[in-house]
This record gives sequence, C-alpha cells and structure tokens, in this order.
Amino acid sequence: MPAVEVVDVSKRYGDVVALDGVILSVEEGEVFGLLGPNGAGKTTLMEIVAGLRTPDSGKVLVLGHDAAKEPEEIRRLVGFNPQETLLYDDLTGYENLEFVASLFSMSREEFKEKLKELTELLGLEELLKRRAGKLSGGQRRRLSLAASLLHTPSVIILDEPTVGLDPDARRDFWGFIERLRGEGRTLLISTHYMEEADELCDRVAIMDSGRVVTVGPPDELKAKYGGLSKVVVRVRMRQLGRALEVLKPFSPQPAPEGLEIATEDPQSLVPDVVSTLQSAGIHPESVEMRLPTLEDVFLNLTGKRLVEVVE
Amino acid sequence: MRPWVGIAKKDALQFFRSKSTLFWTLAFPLIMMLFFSAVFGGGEAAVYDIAVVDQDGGEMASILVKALNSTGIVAVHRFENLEEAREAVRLGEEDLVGLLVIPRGFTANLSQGFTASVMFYVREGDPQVQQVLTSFMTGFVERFNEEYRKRMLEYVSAYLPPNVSWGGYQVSREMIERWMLSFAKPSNITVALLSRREVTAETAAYWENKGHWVSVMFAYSFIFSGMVGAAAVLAYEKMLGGLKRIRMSPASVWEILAGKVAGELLTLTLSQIILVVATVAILRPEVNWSLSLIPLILAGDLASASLGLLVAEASPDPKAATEATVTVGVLLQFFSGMYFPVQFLPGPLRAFAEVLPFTKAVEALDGVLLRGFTLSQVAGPALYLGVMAIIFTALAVALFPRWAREG
Repeated sequence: MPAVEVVDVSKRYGDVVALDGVILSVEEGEVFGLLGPNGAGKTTLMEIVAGLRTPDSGKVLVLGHDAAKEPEEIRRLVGFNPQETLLYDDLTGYENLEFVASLFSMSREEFKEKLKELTELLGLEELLKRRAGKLSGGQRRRLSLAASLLHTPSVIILDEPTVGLDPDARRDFWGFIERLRGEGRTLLISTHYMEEADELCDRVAIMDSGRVVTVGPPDELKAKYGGLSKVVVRVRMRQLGRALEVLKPFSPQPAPEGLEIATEDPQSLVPDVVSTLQSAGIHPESVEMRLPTLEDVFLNLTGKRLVEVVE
Repeated sequence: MRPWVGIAKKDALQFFRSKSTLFWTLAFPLIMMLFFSAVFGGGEAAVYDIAVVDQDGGEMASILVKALNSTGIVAVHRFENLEEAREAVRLGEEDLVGLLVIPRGFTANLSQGFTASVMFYVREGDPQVQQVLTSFMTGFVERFNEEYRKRMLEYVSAYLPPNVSWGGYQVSREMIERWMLSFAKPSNITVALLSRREVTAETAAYWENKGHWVSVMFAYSFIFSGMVGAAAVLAYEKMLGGLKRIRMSPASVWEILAGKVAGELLTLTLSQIILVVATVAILRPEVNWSLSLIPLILAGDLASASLGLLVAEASPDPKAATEATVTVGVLLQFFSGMYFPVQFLPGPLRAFAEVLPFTKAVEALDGVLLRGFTLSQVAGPALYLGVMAIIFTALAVALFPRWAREG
C-alpha cells in the first residue's frame, strides 16, 4: 500500500489554477521530493495531503485513509512542517512543544518520553528554556520540526524546510532527514534547491504550473532528460581564439564561463582536451566536468530555468 | 492534556507575558482609579438624605418612618410643614434628595382594611439618584406591605376554623389565607419629581463613591480583557499562524472553541480578581459583597468575551478586527456609566449607551454593591445582560466553524 496516493487532484483559487490533475504515489519509507518553482503548486498539494485544504476534485489517500473523509485520522498520521515556523514567540521552546502535545491529547509521560528522543535527534537542549522569539532562524526551524514530529507521524511532510538557512544549517538539516530516513519514515519534501532534491530524495516529481511534469529517481531523470554532460575549459583571453581553433574537432561552444564541450563520456574527453591544448602550447586555467543536474531536467522539460523562475 | 486545556493554558500564558496587554488591562484602569480618586477625594458609601412629613401621626406611620431610617440607605429628616419640606428639597438643603409624605388617615386606613397611600417626591437632577431612590422606596413599601400582611394574617388566622364548608365544598384554612393574601394591598406609593431651582454639579458624587470603582473595574475588564482580549486572541492566532498549527492537529473545531472560551474566561477572571483586590486594598470601599454578583459577573464575562469573538469571526481581516475592538473599547468606557451617569449624555448618545450590555452591567453591579439590592431588584439590567450574553454566545458559536476552517 502506498503511503500517499494522490489521484487526479485539482485545485483553483479564483481564476488561478493551483493544481491541475495531479497524480502521484509515494511508497512507504521513501523520501519523495517535489521540485518546482514558487507557484508550481507544491505547498497546495502538501496542504491537501496534510488535510488542511480540500481539493476541488480528485482524491488523496494517506496509508489508505481518505483525506476528505477522515481529516482527523490524516492529521494523526501526518506530521506537516510548513514553510513558516508557526511558533509562539512569547512561549519558551518547551511550552511551545507542550502546547502541540496537548493538541494531540498526549499524556505527560508520552510527551516527556518523546521530548527526550527529539532533544537528542534535533539538539533541542538549549532551545527548550528560551522564548521562541529569541531563537535564530535555524533554531526555530529545528523547534518547528520537533513540533511536527512530536506525535510520531508515519508520514512527514516538509515544505521548503531549508529556505533561509545558511549552508551549514542546511547541511545539518540534511543530516536530520537522513536520520529520519534511517528510521524508515516516509518523507514528502518540497524544495526549489536542486542539489537538495538530488542529495535527499529517492524519487522526485518535477512540478510546474500546477502539473506534475515527470516523476522518477534523480539519476534516472538526469539521464533521461538532463541532456549531455559538459566539459568546461577556461583559458586566458588572448588564447581564446587559438583554443577554439585547436578544439574544433570537439565542437566547443563559447559560454560565459569558458568553452563548453558537450559529451556523453566526459571522463574520457578531459585527458584528450588537455593534451590537445598543451600540444598547441595552450595551458588551460581550468578544465571542469559538468554532469547533468535536475536544473537541466527542469530546463529541458519546461523550457524555463528553475533558478530564474524562483528569483 | 486535552486540546482545550492546552489552548486555554497557552492563551493565559500569552496574556500574562504580553507587557502591553498587562498595561492596558490591569495597570491602566488602576491608574485611572487612583487619578480620579485623588482628584475628587474619597467619600463613603452613599446615604440619601430625605425629608419626611408625617401628617398622620399614627402608630403605623411612626413604624414606617422608623423602619425607613433603619435601612442605612436613607437618613430621615423630619419636617412638620409640607411646604417647608418641599422648599428644602427643591433647594437641596442638607443634601436632601427626596420627600416622603405620609398623609392623614394612613394608620386608620390600614387598621380598617383600606389601602393606605404615601407620596414620595424625588428631587430632579441626578438621574441615577432618582432611579436608585425610586427603586429603593418602591421596594421598601412593598417589603413593609409584606410584613404588615403577614402580621394581619397571623392575627386573623387565629379565629379561623381548620376547615370551613362553603357552597358544599370543604375549604382549608391555608386556602382562605392564600385567598385573603391575594386581595390585600395595604399601602401603595406614588412617586413624583420635584423640580429644583438650582442645578448643582453632582458628577463629583459619582466619583466620590468608592464602591462604584469596584463596578468600574468589572466593567473595564468586560470591555478590555473580555471584548478586546477575545477579539485579539482570535485575530493574532490567525495572523501569526497559530491557527494553522492547531488545524494541523486532530483537535476538533469545538475543542478549539472550548479552549479559546476557557482561556478567555480564565484571563478575564484573573484580571478581575487583580483589579478588584487592588481597588479594595487601595480605596477600602464599603460595598455589599453578595452572591447576586456571581451571575451578573458571569453574564458580563460571557457577553463581553463572546462579543469579542463575534467581531473577530465576522471581520474579514484579523488586523482590522483588533483595531476596531480597541477603538470601540476606548469609546465604550465613556458610554457605559463607568465615569459619569449615562443620563448626562445627549439624546442619541444616551439611547446608544442604554442598549450597551456594559451600561446594564454597571447599573446592576452598582445596585448590588452600593445599595445592597438582590438579584430580583436589579432584574431589568441583569436580564438584559443575560439575554445579550446568550445572543452573542449563540452567534459566536455559530460563526466559529467558518472562522476555524479559513485559518
């Protein structure tokens, strides 16, 4: 049985189509990514799966339970961590978590036990005594994640969990996700960071304008839609014309970062390029291999650059 | 912990951690109380001076005057001449605010089984004094009648046989007593206004009455901790995303509502305790602490809190809801009889003030606290307050699910 099954779900806000016939299936224990720009419909889809919104048409099943018919059961099964941290600034970390525990009717013993576990997992020790309003962005994220995990959900939904975090905090967060994966939890993560989706997800759904463009493991998508790998050569400006001439057999293309050579086998090509240049007396400043990314997949499938759309 | 308990606890914690909330709901009314008490000085609980002209001179008239003087609400000043008494009351001599005339034949009428009448004049001026004195005198004569009827029946009953045969039916003594009681109207009272020649400012008396400040503290808490507080609790929950966090849990809409109401009533009660204890400690007013206050306070709490919830639920914009209730709250304190009698307001404003539940709350609380009235004696404003509480609560409950779903 899939952990999450989204069957032909559509949702409109007035004239704006947020979701247009979305079909998805997330397996139990899988880390599944929703990759797409702002406005692609990722948050709406997650809120529908979490039982916070109802679709105009279609159906969502979480571990076999219909989100429209059993919203309370869905909220017990799902731990939703929205983009906003949703903490009460004038309550301490402990009081915030105690409040969330009460919403799930947890007993004092259950809460204490779970708090101990999450404190170890997320390093909450220092945050519990301090008012949430005094915490940094990364600390608030951790506390908010703890609030979403408190009731031990089977399916964890994280909406843009690393937005606004510095690179170190983001790496730490990826570590938490790996630990949750290790516990066999099902995770549905939305992001517009390609490397995040690449690093964390077993499978990715690429979304654009309320539709799922494609679904698959990142490597498979890159192989299928990412296009050729590239070797990027940087030479001194005065040697650029000569380099273009000697590399002609490799069909180089001038690009802002240097000369780009498209290839199916970049590893074999690099030594050939270097030796060709050296034999012509040109010493390259750098030679880089660029493998296809999910950004290339998005570009090739939608005709838009993900980074540009996000900006 | 149940969701509603968690929500109530969280709301109470937030209330007492917000410095601005604490200032406006607790510190500000106490500052106002200290300021006005210092400006107008401190008086004792009101005792109304009334003139009495006993034209009857009989035993029952004498008992009536003696009983009246012993109530502690009025101080009797005897006059021999009716015209002199009327003039003294008109001019407000010796702080006289009313005149009781016991006409010749009062005792004779009572003892012969006829209805005996008295006449009471209230000096025109402070409408609140008029209202209080009228209610008091009417209630007093009713109580006097009750006592008199009881004694007469005791006297007559002694001559009645246990059972009487009447038209073929056996009638018991109790039935005859009840029948006689329903016909007995030993005395009645007519109340009239007595015009003043001089108008004197009587607002100061309003401030000087220390006990009135206890009513003010309750009314202030109804408006700010209750109405404004409840609107703010809902509005901020939505604005700051708390409602989304709550909706991510399996807590039902009714559990959320129960938590919100419980939290609101808890903070309201705690702020009332703080305000009233501080007022009593500072001013030491002589007030009548009666159980009749409990239903009045509960009705006031419920009416004000549910009015706040209602505004927040009906408002399309949470920020607008809080701004509206704060603005309205600031204005309402001047239209609810807290700082001066509503009768002093010009026509349309007075009409507006008189439909406010807070005005009725002040009226009823003053009645109980200052005059020692029972709940039945403040039935009018108390009933109005109760009905408002029921209407506001019903509307707030009806609109809550829609508000919660839109979070």
